[in-house]
Amino acid sequence: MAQLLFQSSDLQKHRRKVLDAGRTDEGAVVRDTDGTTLLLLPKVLHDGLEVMVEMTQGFLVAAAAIDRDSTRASEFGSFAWMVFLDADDRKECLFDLRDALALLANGNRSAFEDVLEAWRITATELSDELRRTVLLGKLQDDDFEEVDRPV
Amino acid sequence: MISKKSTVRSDPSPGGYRPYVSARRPGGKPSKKPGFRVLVHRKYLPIWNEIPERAGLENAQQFYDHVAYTPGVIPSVGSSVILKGKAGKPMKPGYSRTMHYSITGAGRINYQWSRKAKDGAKGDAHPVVKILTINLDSH
Repeated sequence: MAQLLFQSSDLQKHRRKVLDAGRTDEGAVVRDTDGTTLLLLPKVLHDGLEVMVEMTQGFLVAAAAIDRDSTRASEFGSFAWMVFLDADDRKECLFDLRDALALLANGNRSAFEDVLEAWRITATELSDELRRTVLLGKLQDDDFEEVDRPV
Repeated sequence: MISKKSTVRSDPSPGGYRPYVSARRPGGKPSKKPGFRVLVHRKYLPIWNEIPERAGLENAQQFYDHVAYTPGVIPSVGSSVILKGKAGKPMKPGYSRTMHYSITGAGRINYQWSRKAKDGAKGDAHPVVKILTINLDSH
C-alpha cells in the first residue's frame, strides 16, 4: 500500500482518515502550510527504527575497532564487552550480529536481542580470568567431583 | 536341597522386637531418581558449597533439580542461554554446548551435559552434568 499524502487542513476535515493512514506500516504524510512534510507512524515502528539506527551505529563502531585490532573497551562503543572476546570470537560475533541486524530490519527485534544478549553474556563470562581459563581450557575427567543435592 | 522358601526371613511374631528391620526413609521415597550425575569443577567446589547461603536454599535446589533431570531444556525458574563462540563449544564429543543458567538475581552457572558420557577408566556410559563455572557476584 502506498503512503497517503494529506494537507494540513485534512487534520481538521478528515481527521479519521489521517489517523487511520497513520496507523499503517506506511504511515501518513501530512504537508504543512509552509511545505514541510511530516510523517505520522505507529510509535512501535518508530521505536524499532530508533533501535535499528542505534544498533547499526554500534555495529559499525565495533567493526572498526576489530579492524584496528583494538584492545581498548572504549573503542568498541556500545559493544564494549567485545573487548573480552579473542580475535576469532570477535569475527564470529560480528557475523552473527550482521545477520541479526537483518532480522531486526525485518521487524524481528526479539531475535536480534537474543543474539546480542547471548554474545554479551559470553563476553561477560570471559571477563574473569578463572572462568576464562576453565571455559576455554582443555578439561580432564579428574577436574570434576560429584556433588549431592544441596540441603 | 534347601528350598527357596526357607531362605526368606519371616517376620517375628506380632508385637515382637525387630532389631534388623531397617526404618523407612522419612517423608517416603524420592519421587524419582536423578537422571544425571552432577559434577562440579574442583576450582568451583568452595563456591558451590556457598550457593545455599548466598543464593538461597530453594534456588540452589531448583538449580540442582533442573540439571539433574532436565539439563537441556529451558528452566521453569530462572533463565538460560547457550554461550557463543569458543566458550560454548562441547568439551568432548557427546557433550552439549555450554549452557548458561541464571539464578534469579543471585548468580550464574555454566555447565555442559551428556546423556552417554564415557569418563574414567571404566568407560561406562552414563548421563552426566558437568558444572564448569559458578559466579555468585551480583550484576
